[in-house]
Parts: sequence; structure tokens; C-alpha cells
Amino acid sequence: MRKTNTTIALVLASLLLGSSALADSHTVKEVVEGQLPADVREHFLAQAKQEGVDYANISDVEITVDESSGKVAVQGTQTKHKREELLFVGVQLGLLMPFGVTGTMMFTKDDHPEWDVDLSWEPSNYLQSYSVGGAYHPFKGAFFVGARIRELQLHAPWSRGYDSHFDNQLGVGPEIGFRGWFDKGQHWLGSVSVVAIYIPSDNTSLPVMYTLSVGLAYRAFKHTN
Amino acid sequence: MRTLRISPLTLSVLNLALCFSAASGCGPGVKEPAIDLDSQTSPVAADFSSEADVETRYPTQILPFYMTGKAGTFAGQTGVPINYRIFTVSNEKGAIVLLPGRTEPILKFAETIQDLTSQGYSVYAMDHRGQGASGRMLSNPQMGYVEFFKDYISDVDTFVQTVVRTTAHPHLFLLAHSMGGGISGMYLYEHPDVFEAVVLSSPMFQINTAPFPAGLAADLSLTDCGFSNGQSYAIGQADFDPNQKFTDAGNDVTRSQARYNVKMQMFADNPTQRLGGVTYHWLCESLTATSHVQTVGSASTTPTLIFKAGNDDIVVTAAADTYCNAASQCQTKTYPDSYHEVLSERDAIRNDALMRTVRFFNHFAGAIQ
Repeated sequence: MRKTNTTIALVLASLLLGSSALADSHTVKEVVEGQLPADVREHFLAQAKQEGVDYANISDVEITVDESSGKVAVQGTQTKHKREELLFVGVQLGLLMPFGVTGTMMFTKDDHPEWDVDLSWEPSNYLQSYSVGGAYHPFKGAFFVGARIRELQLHAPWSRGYDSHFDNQLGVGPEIGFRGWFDKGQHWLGSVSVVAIYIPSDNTSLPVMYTLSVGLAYRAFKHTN
Repeated sequence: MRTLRISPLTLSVLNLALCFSAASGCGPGVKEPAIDLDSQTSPVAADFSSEADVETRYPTQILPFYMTGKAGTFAGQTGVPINYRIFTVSNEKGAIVLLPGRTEPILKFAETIQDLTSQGYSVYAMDHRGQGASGRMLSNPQMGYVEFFKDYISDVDTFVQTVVRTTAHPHLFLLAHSMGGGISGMYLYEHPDVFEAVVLSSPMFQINTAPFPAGLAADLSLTDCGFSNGQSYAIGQADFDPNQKFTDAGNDVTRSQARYNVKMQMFADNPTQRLGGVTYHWLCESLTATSHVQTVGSASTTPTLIFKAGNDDIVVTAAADTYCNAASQCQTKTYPDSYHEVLSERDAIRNDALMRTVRFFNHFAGAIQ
């Protein structure tokens, strides 16, 4: 048992490298599932069970590590995550749609982006686009994958060439890119994304097209739960 | 009958649902049998003009014949003057409206017009806006430009209503090439009851954008049109090259050297009728318009004959199949060795196509032999 604890201390010391505090907190998910050998992991599970911790909800469980003693204590306390909704409004430049105005609602967890949805209007000298995008940040960073559905007008409604029957097309397609803030205050949001547009219509056979856009937005609203 | 209007959003959703759910998919409706053109005995290919002496006959016979046509102009959309010429035949079997392709003046069709009139058909030929002897819209008259593709269609309708139909014809037919075919596809969708039968040669139902993939070409063109007015030459496009040789790679329209020479001489003699490459705006309009025309075949009830060129670098011939397969009465004829301009090709191709054209029209004119 002593050997096991020593091993744990060594592993956790490496995990805590850079920390000046003698004690620190990590989630069980970070420590147990990520780094430790199987026998040590079993020890944690046993200790967690002894402390009455629900392993099914293990990612929300906090443990305390005392480096001086080399012991690990599973506290069984629930972590209170910080969740926020941030609304950004901004503009974008790009290919296919040269210019756009966009409003993005970003949902964060512990200051990391998790989900976002946006409304975009991309007028141009030719095509017009009104779209809704949804994105998920799988690594809790700027990288996202998502999808976009758009009303694409092949001529502007105010132009002489507009034909309501042919010129209103519904486009759908995946989106991939990076969207995140530049500053610690989370005031400025930058984005780069590529979107494929597929038009499943019975009155046009336009090929799959792609948009590339670079955007900059400023936070207009923030709500912390 | 197109009185019922459903929103495009609804149509898209319905289309997806129907296509994915129906076991039969989105196939064509009831098809009429193809017209048997091979069983007719007249005319035969030898009845039409020969390339063997076309270069000598052009100045002495063909051009003088062309000049006998009654020339006129009318105001097209936004007042652009549209040039036309009428070649009437007494006791005509019917009248044929002739719509040329992009860059082509109706003058280029003089040989074909003479052939059609010799078969008993009056011909009404019209120069599209921005080319031939019709009005140009940019300061550089050689730039291929149209503000809206639908202007082409409106001009054709004005031509039909104010020129062609002012005279009673026993039958009215349409013969169109390339861009004229694309215009025709949309015209027939909007006016399904005007023509009794239609022949389309290498119709521009989808532009061949090679070497660029279609999506990239659309991206580049639509981006340029979004940023600007699109009134500049698209990548690789330039003014008409009067020194282009028959053997140059730029000649991807005919393998008939004699007819190529006649064409170049015609442009040399009539430099104002030259037209260069396409502008981005023309591309934007044509890419979007042709994306529609491929889909309207299912609404086509007009008997249609389509010629496809086996070596066509200008248009995507598969788009003609898409249209034809969906149409209720449509048949195709492929010439494997033909370049894009079937009606300017070598005799073996061109005259067979003209023979089939006349036989097709004869069928509906009740003049089968």
C-alpha cells in the first residue's frame, strides 16, 4: 500500500509540476483516467467508493492531493462549473460572400467555448445569404465543427433580374474552422471558417460551392450562470 | 400551366423527402416514343450545302442570298437594339426561329439558313444582345456581357410576339445552338405553347468550366460578381483573335477547315460583329441560369431533338441528357467525332444533323416523305 501511495505521489507530482502550492485539486477524470496505471486507478476507485463518491459522475468529483505526505484524498465534493453565454456582433470578409454581418451566441464552460450558434447576413453585389450556423468545440478550444443552413438568393430581391421561383434556394452544408477570443477579457472574437454549400433543390443544379470567411466580432452581452 | 406557386423552401424539403423516400426515385414522367427519322426518305444529307466548295460559294452565292433577307431591329429589354433578319419562303411548310450561340452572329448561319429555306421553311434569325449586329452594352464591345440572362429570354419573346407572329405561319419551329439552346430551354419553360417542335444543337445546359471544377468556377465567378460589377474578362478570356488558326488549340468548335475559314473571313469582313471572351458577370448569369435549365426538362412538353457533340469542350453534354430524360418527348443524336458546332462541322456530321432537323420538322408539319 505504501508503494502504491509513493507511485501516486510521483505521478501527481509530475502532473502538478509548476504549481507552487503544496496542495492542489484535480478532477478524478483528469487523474485517474488520464495518467495512472491500472493498479493505482483501482486504488482510487476503492478510495472513492469508501468516500461515497458516485463514480458515474466522476468528472464532477474533486480530489485533493497533499504532496508533502504523498497522499491523495478523494473529497467527494461536486465541482461547480462556470457557465457563460456571450453574445458577439461583428463583421466578416470572405470568398463567395465578400461581406457579412453576424451575431454569435457562444456558450462556454469554465471559460472554454463549448457551443455556439450564429445568425449571419451576407449581402453582396450579386448573391445574398441569410444563414443560421451551429458549432461544437470538441476540444474546448477555438476549433469547431458545425453545420449551416442558409437562404441563398441568386439575385437580390431588389434587382431587375430577380425571379422569386428560381432565385430563392435553400443551402445546407458542414462548417469547420476556428472561433475564439483574442483577449483574456473575452471582448474580441475572431473566426476563420470554411463552409460547403449544397443546394438540394429541384429547380437548380448548382454545384457544391464553398465559402471562406474571416470574421471579427465584439462582445455585446455576457451572462454568467 | 404554372399557376401554382410553392415556396422554394417548401419545394426543396418536399423534393428531398420524395426523392429519398420513393422507391422509384426522381425519375421522368410518361415518355412519348421517339420520332423515327431514319424511315423518312427525304431530304437526304446530299441535299445540303457541301464544304467542298463552300469557300467559293460563300461570296458568290451564300452571302448574296443572305443579303436578300429582310433586316430589322427592335428594342429589347432596357432598349438594347436587337438585330434580326427574315428569310421568307412562299408556300412555306412552316417558319423556323433561329437562335445562334454565344459569339455567333446570325450572319454566320447564312449557309444553314439557305439550306433550310431550300427545304421550304421560312427562317427568322435573331442576334442576341451583346453580339452580332445587336447592341453591345459595355465600352469594350468585344466583352461577352449580359446584365441578366432573362434579358435574352425576354428579347426572344419580343421577337416572337412582335416580328415572327405578325405573319401567320402554318407551323412554328425553333432551331437553336449552344447558348441559344440554353435560352431556348428557359423560353420553352416560360412559353410552352409557342413552338410545335424544337431542335437544339449542343445546347448550353451546363457550361464546361474545365480546367476548373464546376464548384470552383462558380466560387470564383460569384465572388467576383459579389465584389464588383463583373464587367471584366474572366480568367483566360480576351478579345477576339483574328489570327487564330484552324489548327490552334483555341479552335475547339469545328473540324471543318472550309467552314472555319468562311467564319474567319466573315469576321474579317465584319469586324464590328466580333465578340471576345466572357466577363465574370456573363459567367455568373449563365452559370445560375443554366443551373435552372437542367431542371426544367420535366416541364417540357414540346417535342425536342437534341444534337450532342462527342468532342464538346464548350458545354457538358450530360446536362442535355438530364434535360431530355426528364422531358416527355425528347430524343438525342450524338455525333462522336463532332466538335461543339455541329451545324458548322464537316459534311458527314453537319448535313446529317440538318437532314434530321428537317425530317423532324417535316414530321410535325405533316410533310413527311
